[in-house]
Amino acid sequence: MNDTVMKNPADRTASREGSPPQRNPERTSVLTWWDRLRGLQSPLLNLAGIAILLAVWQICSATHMVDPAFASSPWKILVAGRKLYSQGAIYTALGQTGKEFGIGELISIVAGTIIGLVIGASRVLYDMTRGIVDVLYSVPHVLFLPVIIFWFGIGSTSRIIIVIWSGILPLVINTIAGSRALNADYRRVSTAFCTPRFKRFYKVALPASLPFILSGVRLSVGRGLIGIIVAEFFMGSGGVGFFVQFHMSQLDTSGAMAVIVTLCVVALLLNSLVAWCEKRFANWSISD
Amino acid sequence: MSESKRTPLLQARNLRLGHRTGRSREFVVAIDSIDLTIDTGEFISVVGPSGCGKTTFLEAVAGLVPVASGDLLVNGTPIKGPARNRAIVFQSASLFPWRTVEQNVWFGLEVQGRLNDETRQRTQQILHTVGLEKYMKARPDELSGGMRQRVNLARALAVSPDVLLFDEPFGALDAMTRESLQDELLRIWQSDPDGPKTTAIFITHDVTESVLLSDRVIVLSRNPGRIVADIAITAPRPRISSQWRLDPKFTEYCSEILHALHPEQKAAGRSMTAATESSV
Repeated sequence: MNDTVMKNPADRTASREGSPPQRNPERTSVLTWWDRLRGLQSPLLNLAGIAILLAVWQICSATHMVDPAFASSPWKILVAGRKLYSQGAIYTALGQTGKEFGIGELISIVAGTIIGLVIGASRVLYDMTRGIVDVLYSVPHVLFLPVIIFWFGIGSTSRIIIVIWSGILPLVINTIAGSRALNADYRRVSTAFCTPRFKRFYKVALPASLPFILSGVRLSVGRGLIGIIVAEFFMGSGGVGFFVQFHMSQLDTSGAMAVIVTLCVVALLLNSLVAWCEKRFANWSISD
Repeated sequence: MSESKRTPLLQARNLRLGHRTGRSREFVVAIDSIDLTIDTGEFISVVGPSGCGKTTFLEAVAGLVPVASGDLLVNGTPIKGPARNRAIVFQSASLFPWRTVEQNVWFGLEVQGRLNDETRQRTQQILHTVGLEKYMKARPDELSGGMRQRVNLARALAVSPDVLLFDEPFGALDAMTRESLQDELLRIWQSDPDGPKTTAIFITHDVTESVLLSDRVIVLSRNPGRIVADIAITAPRPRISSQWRLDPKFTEYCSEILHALHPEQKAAGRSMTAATESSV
Protein backbone atom coordinates (compact mmCIF):
# COMPACT_ATOMS: atom_id res chain seq x y z
CA MET A 1 0.00 0.00 0.00
CA ASN A 2 1.36 3.38 -0.85
CA ASP A 3 -0.61 5.14 1.87
CA THR A 4 1.63 6.33 4.61
CA VAL A 5 1.18 8.38 7.72
CA MET A 6 2.57 11.76 6.82
CA LYS A 7 3.07 13.12 10.28
CA ASN A 8 4.93 10.67 12.37
CA PRO A 9 6.66 12.41 15.28
CA ALA A 10 8.32 9.18 16.35
CA ASP A 11 10.08 8.86 13.00
CA ARG A 12 11.23 12.43 13.08
CA THR A 13 12.74 12.23 16.56
CA ALA A 14 14.30 8.91 15.69
CA SER A 15 16.12 10.38 12.71
CA ARG A 16 17.22 13.38 14.77
CA GLU A 17 18.56 11.18 17.53
CA GLY A 18 20.16 8.93 14.94
CA SER A 19 22.65 11.51 13.64
CA PRO A 20 24.54 12.96 16.69
CA PRO A 21 26.65 9.91 17.61
CA GLN A 22 28.72 10.43 14.43
CA ARG A 23 29.74 13.86 15.65
CA ASN A 24 32.29 14.83 18.26
CA PRO A 25 30.37 14.61 21.56
CA GLU A 26 31.89 17.86 22.93
CA ARG A 27 30.94 19.75 19.83
CA THR A 28 27.44 18.36 20.07
CA SER A 29 27.04 19.63 23.63
CA VAL A 30 28.31 23.07 22.61
CA LEU A 31 25.88 23.09 19.76
CA THR A 32 22.91 22.14 21.90
CA TRP A 33 23.91 24.76 24.48
CA TRP A 34 23.84 27.40 21.76
CA ASP A 35 20.65 26.00 20.37
CA ARG A 36 19.05 26.08 23.76
CA LEU A 37 20.14 29.67 24.31
CA ARG A 38 18.78 30.65 20.91
CA GLY A 39 15.50 28.97 21.79
CA LEU A 40 15.33 31.01 25.00
CA GLN A 41 16.41 34.23 23.30
CA SER A 42 12.98 35.68 22.87
CA PRO A 43 11.63 35.01 26.40
CA LEU A 44 14.95 36.14 27.90
CA LEU A 45 14.83 39.43 26.01
CA ASN A 46 11.24 39.73 27.09
CA LEU A 47 12.24 39.49 30.75
CA ALA A 48 15.25 41.75 30.18
CA GLY A 49 12.96 44.49 28.86
CA ILE A 50 10.80 44.33 31.96
CA ALA A 51 13.85 44.25 34.24
CA ILE A 52 15.36 47.32 32.56
CA LEU A 53 12.11 49.24 32.87
CA LEU A 54 11.81 48.38 36.58
CA ALA A 55 15.47 49.29 37.18
CA VAL A 56 15.12 52.68 35.48
CA TRP A 57 11.99 53.34 37.51
CA GLN A 58 13.73 52.36 40.75
CA ILE A 59 16.79 54.51 39.95
CA CYS A 60 14.73 57.56 38.96
CA SER A 61 12.73 57.25 42.12
CA ALA A 62 15.69 56.61 44.43
CA THR A 63 17.70 59.55 43.04
CA HIS A 64 14.65 61.82 43.34
CA MET A 65 14.65 62.49 39.61
CA VAL A 66 10.92 61.95 40.04
CA ASP A 67 8.99 62.47 43.26
CA PRO A 68 8.80 59.05 44.97
CA ALA A 69 5.57 60.00 46.73
CA PHE A 70 4.12 60.71 43.31
CA ALA A 71 5.58 57.92 41.17
CA SER A 72 6.31 55.31 43.83
CA SER A 73 8.98 52.70 42.96
CA PRO A 74 9.14 48.96 42.36
CA TRP A 75 10.64 48.39 45.77
CA LYS A 76 8.02 50.51 47.55
CA ILE A 77 5.30 48.63 45.65
CA LEU A 78 6.80 45.34 46.84
CA VAL A 79 6.78 46.55 50.45
CA ALA A 80 3.23 47.89 50.11
CA GLY A 81 2.21 44.59 48.56
CA ARG A 82 3.57 42.63 51.52
CA LYS A 83 1.67 44.85 53.90
CA LEU A 84 -1.44 44.55 51.78
CA TYR A 85 -1.39 40.78 51.75
CA SER A 86 -0.72 40.54 55.48
CA GLN A 87 -4.08 42.24 56.02
CA GLY A 88 -7.41 40.73 55.05
CA ALA A 89 -9.08 43.55 53.09
CA ILE A 90 -7.48 42.67 49.74
CA TYR A 91 -8.76 39.10 49.89
CA THR A 92 -12.32 40.30 50.42
CA ALA A 93 -11.94 42.72 47.51
CA LEU A 94 -10.43 40.05 45.23
CA GLY A 95 -13.09 37.59 46.28
CA GLN A 96 -15.92 39.96 45.49
CA THR A 97 -14.51 41.00 42.13
CA GLY A 98 -13.60 37.41 41.26
CA LYS A 99 -17.03 36.07 42.12
CA GLU A 100 -18.94 38.73 40.23
CA PHE A 101 -16.61 38.58 37.25
CA GLY A 102 -16.73 34.78 37.22
CA ILE A 103 -20.53 34.63 37.25
CA GLY A 104 -20.83 37.33 34.60
CA GLU A 105 -18.22 35.78 32.36
CA LEU A 106 -19.71 32.32 32.65
CA ILE A 107 -23.14 33.61 31.66
CA SER A 108 -21.55 35.55 28.78
CA ILE A 109 -19.77 32.48 27.45
CA VAL A 110 -22.75 30.14 27.65
CA ALA A 111 -25.36 32.63 26.43
CA GLY A 112 -23.04 34.25 23.87
CA THR A 113 -22.19 30.91 22.29
CA ILE A 114 -25.80 29.79 22.09
CA ILE A 115 -27.01 33.14 20.74
CA GLY A 116 -24.15 33.18 18.22
CA LEU A 117 -24.84 29.66 16.99
CA VAL A 118 -28.56 30.32 16.60
CA ILE A 119 -28.08 33.62 14.77
CA GLY A 120 -25.29 32.13 12.65
CA ALA A 121 -27.49 29.26 11.52
CA SER A 122 -30.28 31.47 10.22
CA ARG A 123 -29.94 33.86 7.34
CA VAL A 124 -33.04 35.83 8.44
CA LEU A 125 -31.92 36.18 12.06
CA TYR A 126 -28.45 37.19 10.91
CA ASP A 127 -29.77 39.97 8.68
CA MET A 128 -32.17 41.12 11.37
CA THR A 129 -29.59 41.33 14.15
CA ARG A 130 -26.54 42.50 12.21
CA GLY A 131 -27.31 46.18 12.60
CA ILE A 132 -28.19 45.91 16.27
CA VAL A 133 -25.05 43.95 17.09
CA ASP A 134 -22.85 46.39 15.17
CA VAL A 135 -24.32 49.42 16.93
CA LEU A 136 -24.07 47.87 20.38
CA TYR A 137 -20.52 46.74 19.74
CA SER A 138 -19.31 50.13 18.52
CA VAL A 139 -20.70 52.04 21.52
CA PRO A 140 -18.20 51.95 24.44
CA HIS A 141 -19.70 49.31 26.70
CA VAL A 142 -19.11 51.12 30.01
CA LEU A 143 -21.23 54.00 28.73
CA PHE A 144 -24.30 51.95 29.59
CA LEU A 145 -23.23 51.71 33.24
CA PRO A 146 -25.40 54.58 34.52
CA VAL A 147 -28.40 53.08 32.74
CA ILE A 148 -27.71 49.66 34.19
CA ILE A 149 -27.36 51.14 37.66
CA PHE A 150 -30.65 52.96 37.16
CA TRP A 151 -32.30 49.68 36.21
CA PHE A 152 -30.67 47.28 38.64
CA GLY A 153 -29.45 49.51 41.45
CA ILE A 154 -26.04 49.79 43.11
CA GLY A 155 -25.02 46.27 43.91
CA SER A 156 -23.82 42.90 42.84
CA THR A 157 -26.51 42.44 40.18
CA SER A 158 -25.52 45.58 38.33
CA ARG A 159 -21.86 44.61 38.34
CA ILE A 160 -22.61 41.13 37.02
CA ILE A 161 -24.81 42.65 34.35
CA ILE A 162 -22.11 45.04 33.21
CA VAL A 163 -19.68 42.10 32.91
CA ILE A 164 -22.21 40.24 30.75
CA TRP A 165 -22.93 43.39 28.77
CA SER A 166 -19.23 43.96 28.15
CA GLY A 167 -18.29 40.37 27.50
CA ILE A 168 -21.12 38.89 25.51
CA LEU A 169 -20.85 40.92 22.30
CA PRO A 170 -17.39 39.81 21.15
CA LEU A 171 -18.49 36.24 21.83
CA VAL A 172 -21.71 36.58 19.88
CA ILE A 173 -19.90 38.25 16.97
CA ASN A 174 -17.16 35.62 16.86
CA THR A 175 -19.52 32.70 17.19
CA ILE A 176 -21.70 34.06 14.39
CA ALA A 177 -18.60 34.42 12.22
CA GLY A 178 -17.52 30.88 13.05
CA SER A 179 -20.92 29.40 12.44
CA ARG A 180 -21.34 31.25 9.14
CA ALA A 181 -17.88 30.18 7.99
CA LEU A 182 -18.94 26.58 8.56
CA ASN A 183 -17.35 24.48 5.86
CA ALA A 184 -19.90 23.57 3.16
CA ASP A 185 -18.58 20.00 3.31
CA TYR A 186 -19.50 19.71 7.00
CA ARG A 187 -22.98 20.89 6.16
CA ARG A 188 -23.34 18.36 3.37
CA VAL A 189 -22.11 15.54 5.58
CA SER A 190 -24.51 16.41 8.38
CA THR A 191 -27.42 16.75 5.95
CA ALA A 192 -26.63 13.53 4.11
CA PHE A 193 -26.45 11.55 7.33
CA CYS A 194 -29.83 12.90 8.45
CA THR A 195 -28.53 14.85 11.43
CA PRO A 196 -31.40 16.28 13.49
CA ARG A 197 -31.36 20.06 13.82
CA PHE A 198 -30.41 20.16 17.49
CA LYS A 199 -27.61 17.64 17.11
CA ARG A 200 -26.31 19.63 14.17
CA PHE A 201 -25.70 22.51 16.60
CA TYR A 202 -23.68 20.70 19.17
CA LYS A 203 -22.12 17.93 17.12
CA VAL A 204 -21.05 19.98 14.10
CA ALA A 205 -21.51 23.75 14.39
CA LEU A 206 -20.21 24.01 17.96
CA PRO A 207 -16.96 22.07 17.53
CA ALA A 208 -16.38 23.61 14.10
CA SER A 209 -16.75 27.12 15.55
CA LEU A 210 -14.70 26.39 18.66
CA PRO A 211 -11.57 28.23 17.46
CA PHE A 212 -13.71 31.31 16.80
CA ILE A 213 -15.52 30.95 20.13
CA LEU A 214 -12.27 30.72 22.07
CA SER A 215 -10.83 33.85 20.50
CA GLY A 216 -14.16 35.46 21.39
CA VAL A 217 -13.67 34.33 24.99
CA ARG A 218 -10.25 35.99 25.01
CA LEU A 219 -11.75 39.32 23.93
CA SER A 220 -14.67 38.84 26.27
CA VAL A 221 -12.42 38.34 29.31
CA GLY A 222 -10.55 41.56 28.55
CA ARG A 223 -13.70 43.61 28.12
CA GLY A 224 -15.40 41.99 31.10
CA LEU A 225 -12.51 42.98 33.35
CA ILE A 226 -12.78 46.58 32.16
CA GLY A 227 -16.51 46.44 32.81
CA ILE A 228 -16.28 45.27 36.38
CA ILE A 229 -13.40 47.58 37.38
CA VAL A 230 -15.15 50.64 35.97
CA ALA A 231 -18.35 49.58 37.72
CA GLU A 232 -16.47 49.34 41.02
CA PHE A 233 -14.97 52.81 40.51
CA PHE A 234 -18.42 54.08 39.82
CA MET A 235 -20.25 52.47 42.71
CA GLY A 236 -17.51 52.88 45.27
CA SER A 237 -18.55 50.13 47.62
CA GLY A 238 -16.05 47.31 47.26
CA GLY A 239 -13.96 45.15 44.99
CA VAL A 240 -10.55 45.61 43.44
CA GLY A 241 -11.46 48.77 41.52
CA PHE A 242 -12.75 50.44 44.65
CA PHE A 243 -9.63 49.31 46.50
CA VAL A 244 -7.33 51.07 44.01
CA GLN A 245 -9.46 54.19 44.13
CA PHE A 246 -9.47 54.13 47.92
CA HIS A 247 -5.66 53.91 48.09
CA MET A 248 -5.28 56.76 45.60
CA SER A 249 -7.68 58.93 47.55
CA GLN A 250 -5.26 58.57 50.47
CA LEU A 251 -2.36 59.43 48.12
CA ASP A 252 -0.98 55.93 48.66
CA THR A 253 0.43 55.34 45.16
CA SER A 254 2.40 52.27 46.23
CA GLY A 255 -0.66 50.57 47.69
CA ALA A 256 -2.71 51.28 44.58
CA MET A 257 0.11 50.02 42.37
CA ALA A 258 0.37 46.82 44.39
CA VAL A 259 -3.31 46.11 43.69
CA ILE A 260 -2.81 46.94 40.02
CA VAL A 261 0.11 44.49 39.82
CA THR A 262 -2.14 41.81 41.33
CA LEU A 263 -4.75 42.47 38.68
CA CYS A 264 -2.07 42.33 35.97
CA VAL A 265 -1.07 38.87 37.13
CA VAL A 266 -4.70 37.72 37.24
CA ALA A 267 -5.37 39.05 33.73
CA LEU A 268 -2.23 37.35 32.40
CA LEU A 269 -3.25 34.07 34.01
CA LEU A 270 -6.74 34.27 32.54
CA ASN A 271 -5.27 34.94 29.14
CA SER A 272 -2.92 31.96 29.39
CA LEU A 273 -5.83 29.80 30.49
CA VAL A 274 -7.75 30.70 27.33
CA ALA A 275 -4.60 30.17 25.24
CA TRP A 276 -4.21 26.76 26.84
CA CYS A 277 -7.81 25.93 26.02
CA GLU A 278 -7.21 26.95 22.41
CA LYS A 279 -4.22 24.64 22.22
CA ARG A 280 -6.00 21.79 23.94
CA PHE A 281 -9.45 21.91 22.31
CA ALA A 282 -8.98 23.62 18.96
CA ASN A 283 -5.65 22.15 17.89
CA TRP A 284 -6.97 20.46 14.76
CA SER A 285 -6.10 22.08 11.49
CA ILE A 286 -8.90 23.76 9.57
CA SER A 287 -7.90 22.11 6.31
CA ASP A 288 -9.46 18.80 5.42
CA MET B 1 -25.88 -12.57 -11.57
CA SER B 2 -29.49 -13.74 -11.37
CA GLU B 3 -31.72 -11.66 -13.59
CA SER B 4 -34.92 -13.29 -12.37
CA LYS B 5 -35.69 -12.11 -8.81
CA ARG B 6 -34.76 -8.47 -8.50
CA THR B 7 -37.16 -5.83 -7.31
CA PRO B 8 -36.40 -2.39 -8.80
CA LEU B 9 -34.75 -0.45 -6.01
CA LEU B 10 -34.41 2.85 -7.76
CA GLN B 11 -36.56 4.13 -10.56
CA ALA B 12 -36.19 7.34 -12.55
CA ARG B 13 -38.99 8.21 -14.94
CA ASN B 14 -38.65 11.13 -17.31
CA LEU B 15 -36.45 12.70 -14.65
CA ARG B 16 -35.36 16.30 -15.00
CA LEU B 17 -32.92 17.95 -12.60
CA GLY B 18 -31.26 21.29 -12.38
CA HIS B 19 -30.56 24.25 -10.18
CA ARG B 20 -31.07 27.98 -10.18
CA THR B 21 -27.86 29.93 -10.52
CA GLY B 22 -26.62 33.44 -10.95
CA ARG B 23 -28.29 36.72 -10.13
CA SER B 24 -31.25 36.07 -12.45
CA ARG B 25 -31.97 32.77 -10.66
CA GLU B 26 -32.25 31.19 -14.09
CA PHE B 27 -33.03 27.49 -14.11
CA VAL B 28 -30.15 25.50 -15.59
CA VAL B 29 -31.00 21.96 -16.64
CA ALA B 30 -28.41 19.44 -15.57
CA ILE B 31 -30.23 16.19 -16.29
CA ASP B 32 -33.00 15.89 -18.86
CA SER B 33 -35.59 13.16 -19.42
CA ILE B 34 -33.78 10.23 -17.89
CA ASP B 35 -35.43 6.83 -17.57
CA LEU B 36 -33.52 4.38 -15.47
CA THR B 37 -34.21 1.32 -13.34
CA ILE B 38 -31.69 0.02 -10.87
CA ASP B 39 -32.11 -3.33 -9.15
CA THR B 40 -31.13 -4.28 -5.64
CA GLY B 41 -27.54 -5.41 -5.38
CA GLU B 42 -26.39 -3.83 -8.61
CA PHE B 43 -23.19 -1.85 -8.83
CA ILE B 44 -23.91 0.91 -11.32
CA SER B 45 -21.45 3.42 -12.65
CA VAL B 46 -22.51 6.68 -14.21
CA VAL B 47 -19.88 7.95 -16.61
CA GLY B 48 -19.94 11.24 -18.42
CA PRO B 49 -17.92 14.29 -19.34
CA SER B 50 -17.54 16.91 -16.64
CA GLY B 51 -20.58 19.15 -16.43
CA CYS B 52 -22.99 16.47 -17.63
CA GLY B 53 -24.94 16.53 -14.38
CA LYS B 54 -23.85 13.16 -13.04
CA THR B 55 -23.09 14.60 -9.60
CA THR B 56 -26.48 16.37 -9.63
CA PHE B 57 -28.11 13.01 -10.32
CA LEU B 58 -26.31 11.48 -7.36
CA GLU B 59 -27.28 14.37 -5.12
CA ALA B 60 -30.89 13.98 -6.19
CA VAL B 61 -30.80 10.31 -5.23
CA ALA B 62 -29.23 11.33 -1.92
CA GLY B 63 -32.06 13.81 -1.43
CA LEU B 64 -29.81 16.88 -1.45
CA VAL B 65 -31.18 18.29 -4.73
CA PRO B 66 -34.93 18.49 -5.36
CA VAL B 67 -36.47 16.82 -8.39
CA ALA B 68 -37.56 19.44 -10.95
CA SER B 69 -39.97 17.21 -12.83
CA GLY B 70 -40.56 13.52 -13.46
CA ASP B 71 -40.25 10.80 -10.86
CA LEU B 72 -37.38 9.54 -8.78
CA LEU B 73 -38.45 6.62 -6.63
CA VAL B 74 -36.68 4.49 -4.09
CA ASN B 75 -38.53 1.26 -3.32
CA GLY B 76 -41.53 2.82 -5.03
CA THR B 77 -41.68 5.98 -2.91
CA PRO B 78 -40.56 9.41 -4.16
CA ILE B 79 -37.37 10.84 -2.71
CA LYS B 80 -38.23 13.80 -0.47
CA GLY B 81 -34.90 14.40 1.23
CA PRO B 82 -31.96 12.61 2.76
CA ALA B 83 -32.78 9.24 4.27
CA ARG B 84 -31.02 6.81 6.54
CA ASN B 85 -31.00 4.06 3.93
CA ARG B 86 -28.79 6.06 1.56
CA ALA B 87 -25.22 7.06 2.35
CA ILE B 88 -22.71 9.08 0.35
CA VAL B 89 -19.00 8.63 -0.12
CA PHE B 90 -18.06 12.22 -0.85
CA GLN B 91 -15.74 13.55 -3.50
CA SER B 92 -13.48 15.21 -0.95
CA ALA B 93 -13.17 13.19 2.23
CA SER B 94 -15.05 15.86 4.24
CA LEU B 95 -13.98 14.45 7.59
CA PHE B 96 -14.45 16.39 10.80
CA PRO B 97 -10.94 17.40 11.86
CA TRP B 98 -11.83 17.46 15.58
CA ARG B 99 -12.93 13.83 15.54
CA THR B 100 -10.65 10.83 15.48
CA VAL B 101 -10.87 8.37 12.58
CA GLU B 102 -13.09 6.10 14.66
CA GLN B 103 -15.38 8.94 15.75
CA ASN B 104 -15.66 10.13 12.15
CA VAL B 105 -16.69 6.65 11.04
CA TRP B 106 -19.47 6.41 13.61
CA PHE B 107 -20.72 9.96 13.00
CA GLY B 108 -23.75 8.74 11.05
CA LEU B 109 -24.66 6.18 13.69
CA GLU B 110 -24.19 8.73 16.44
CA VAL B 111 -26.43 11.44 15.00
CA GLN B 112 -29.06 8.85 14.11
CA GLY B 113 -29.00 7.61 17.71
CA ARG B 114 -27.86 4.15 16.70
CA LEU B 115 -24.47 4.08 18.41
CA ASN B 116 -24.26 1.13 20.78
CA ASP B 117 -21.88 -1.71 21.57
CA GLU B 118 -23.01 -3.68 18.56
CA THR B 119 -22.63 -0.86 16.03
CA ARG B 120 -19.38 0.19 17.66
CA GLN B 121 -18.08 -3.29 17.06
CA ARG B 122 -19.29 -3.14 13.48
CA THR B 123 -17.43 0.15 13.07
CA GLN B 124 -14.24 -1.52 14.21
CA GLN B 125 -14.83 -4.35 11.79
CA ILE B 126 -15.32 -1.89 8.93
CA LEU B 127 -12.16 -0.04 9.87
CA HIS B 128 -10.43 -3.39 9.73
CA THR B 129 -11.87 -4.07 6.29
CA VAL B 130 -10.64 -0.77 4.89
CA GLY B 131 -7.23 -1.37 6.49
CA LEU B 132 -7.32 1.42 9.06
CA GLU B 133 -7.49 -0.58 12.29
CA LYS B 134 -4.14 0.89 13.36
CA TYR B 135 -5.32 4.45 12.86
CA MET B 136 -8.57 4.38 14.79
CA LYS B 137 -7.38 7.02 17.25
CA ALA B 138 -5.59 9.16 14.66
CA ARG B 139 -6.85 12.57 13.58
CA PRO B 140 -7.73 13.20 9.93
CA ASP B 141 -4.86 15.68 9.51
CA GLU B 142 -2.44 12.86 10.32
CA LEU B 143 -3.64 10.80 7.36
CA SER B 144 -2.74 10.81 3.68
CA GLY B 145 -5.35 11.59 1.02
CA GLY B 146 -5.92 7.93 0.25
CA MET B 147 -6.44 7.05 3.89
CA ARG B 148 -8.94 9.86 4.33
CA GLN B 149 -10.94 8.47 1.44
CA ARG B 150 -10.94 5.09 3.18
CA VAL B 151 -12.40 6.77 6.28
CA ASN B 152 -14.94 8.48 4.02
CA LEU B 153 -15.91 5.06 2.63
CA ALA B 154 -15.97 3.48 6.09
CA ARG B 155 -18.26 6.24 7.38
CA ALA B 156 -20.79 5.47 4.64
CA LEU B 157 -20.51 1.70 5.18
CA ALA B 158 -21.00 2.09 8.93
CA VAL B 159 -24.65 3.12 8.69
CA SER B 160 -25.37 -0.10 6.70
CA PRO B 161 -27.22 1.69 3.89
CA ASP B 162 -29.36 0.05 1.22
CA VAL B 163 -27.84 2.37 -1.36
CA LEU B 164 -24.24 3.52 -1.37
CA LEU B 165 -23.63 6.64 -3.41
CA PHE B 166 -20.11 7.36 -4.62
CA ASP B 167 -19.40 10.87 -5.83
CA GLU B 168 -16.12 10.47 -7.75
CA PRO B 169 -14.40 9.45 -4.53
CA PHE B 170 -11.05 8.67 -6.14
CA GLY B 171 -11.01 11.55 -8.61
CA ALA B 172 -8.67 13.77 -6.64
CA LEU B 173 -6.11 11.10 -5.79
CA ASP B 174 -2.86 10.36 -7.53
CA ALA B 175 -2.86 7.49 -10.03
CA MET B 176 -1.12 4.95 -7.79
CA THR B 177 -3.36 5.54 -4.79
CA ARG B 178 -6.42 5.60 -6.98
CA GLU B 179 -5.62 2.23 -8.49
CA SER B 180 -4.99 0.61 -5.12
CA LEU B 181 -8.23 2.04 -3.72
CA GLN B 182 -10.16 0.78 -6.75
CA ASP B 183 -8.79 -2.71 -6.08
CA GLU B 184 -9.68 -2.36 -2.40
CA LEU B 185 -13.22 -1.26 -3.15
CA LEU B 186 -13.70 -4.19 -5.53
CA ARG B 187 -12.48 -6.54 -2.82
CA ILE B 188 -14.64 -4.94 -0.11
CA TRP B 189 -17.71 -4.93 -2.34
CA GLN B 190 -17.33 -8.61 -3.20
CA SER B 191 -16.37 -9.76 0.28
CA ASP B 192 -19.03 -7.86 2.20
CA PRO B 193 -21.64 -10.34 3.39
CA ASP B 194 -24.16 -7.52 2.88
CA GLY B 195 -22.95 -7.20 -0.70
CA PRO B 196 -25.95 -8.53 -2.57
CA LYS B 197 -28.29 -6.44 -0.38
CA THR B 198 -26.47 -3.20 -0.95
CA THR B 199 -26.77 -1.25 -4.18
CA ALA B 200 -24.08 1.12 -5.37
CA ILE B 201 -24.25 4.11 -7.67
CA PHE B 202 -20.77 5.18 -8.58
CA ILE B 203 -20.17 8.51 -10.32
CA THR B 204 -16.90 8.76 -12.19
CA HIS B 205 -15.22 10.10 -15.28
CA ASP B 206 -12.67 7.31 -15.24
CA VAL B 207 -13.76 4.69 -17.77
CA THR B 208 -11.47 1.89 -16.55
CA GLU B 209 -12.70 2.46 -13.00
CA SER B 210 -16.31 1.95 -14.09
CA VAL B 211 -15.51 -1.24 -16.02
CA LEU B 212 -13.47 -2.64 -13.17
CA LEU B 213 -16.14 -2.17 -10.52
CA SER B 214 -19.56 -2.22 -12.13
CA ASP B 215 -22.28 -4.57 -13.23
CA ARG B 216 -23.64 -1.82 -15.46
CA VAL B 217 -22.28 1.42 -16.86
CA ILE B 218 -24.58 4.31 -17.73
CA VAL B 219 -23.04 6.81 -20.15
CA LEU B 220 -24.36 10.36 -20.05
CA SER B 221 -24.02 13.03 -22.70
CA ARG B 222 -23.02 16.58 -22.00
CA ASN B 223 -25.34 19.53 -21.43
CA PRO B 224 -27.99 18.52 -20.54
CA GLY B 225 -27.22 15.00 -19.39
CA ARG B 226 -29.07 12.28 -21.25
CA ILE B 227 -28.42 8.57 -21.26
CA VAL B 228 -26.54 7.68 -24.44
CA ALA B 229 -25.58 4.13 -23.52
CA ASP B 230 -26.44 1.53 -20.91
CA ILE B 231 -23.81 -1.16 -20.99
CA ALA B 232 -23.97 -4.35 -18.93
CA ILE B 233 -20.56 -5.56 -17.77
CA THR B 234 -21.19 -9.28 -17.65
CA ALA B 235 -17.86 -10.43 -16.25
CA PRO B 236 -18.54 -12.94 -13.48
CA ARG B 237 -17.90 -12.11 -9.83
CA PRO B 238 -15.86 -12.33 -7.77
CA ARG B 239 -13.53 -10.53 -10.12
CA ILE B 240 -9.86 -10.48 -9.39
CA SER B 241 -8.65 -7.00 -10.13
CA SER B 242 -5.26 -7.88 -11.59
CA GLN B 243 -6.75 -10.49 -13.94
CA TRP B 244 -9.83 -8.53 -14.91
CA ARG B 245 -7.82 -5.44 -15.76
CA LEU B 246 -5.78 -7.51 -18.26
CA ASP B 247 -8.74 -9.36 -19.76
CA PRO B 248 -9.30 -8.55 -23.48
CA LYS B 249 -13.00 -8.06 -22.71
CA PHE B 250 -12.07 -5.34 -20.21
CA THR B 251 -10.48 -3.34 -23.01
CA GLU B 252 -13.45 -4.03 -25.26
CA TYR B 253 -15.81 -2.60 -22.66
CA CYS B 254 -13.57 0.42 -22.23
CA SER B 255 -13.58 1.20 -25.92
CA GLU B 256 -17.33 0.66 -26.13
CA ILE B 257 -17.85 3.24 -23.37
CA LEU B 258 -15.37 5.64 -24.94
CA HIS B 259 -17.19 5.41 -28.25
CA ALA B 260 -20.45 6.17 -26.52
CA LEU B 261 -18.81 9.15 -24.83
CA HIS B 262 -17.26 10.52 -28.02
CA PRO B 263 -19.46 9.32 -30.90
CA GLU B 264 -18.17 12.10 -33.17
CA GLN B 265 -14.51 11.16 -32.92
CA LYS B 266 -14.11 7.44 -33.26
CA ALA B 267 -10.49 7.62 -34.26
CA ALA B 268 -9.61 9.67 -31.22
CA GLY B 269 -11.57 7.22 -29.11
CA ARG B 270 -9.52 4.39 -30.49
CA SER B 271 -6.22 6.05 -29.72
CA MET B 272 -7.47 6.74 -26.18
CA THR B 273 -8.32 3.08 -25.85
CA ALA B 274 -4.80 2.24 -26.87
CA ALA B 275 -3.53 4.56 -24.18
CA THR B 276 -5.77 2.89 -21.62
CA GLU B 277 -4.48 -0.48 -22.70
CA SER B 278 -0.87 0.48 -22.30
CA SER B 279 -1.45 1.97 -18.88
CA VAL B 280 -3.07 -1.18 -17.52
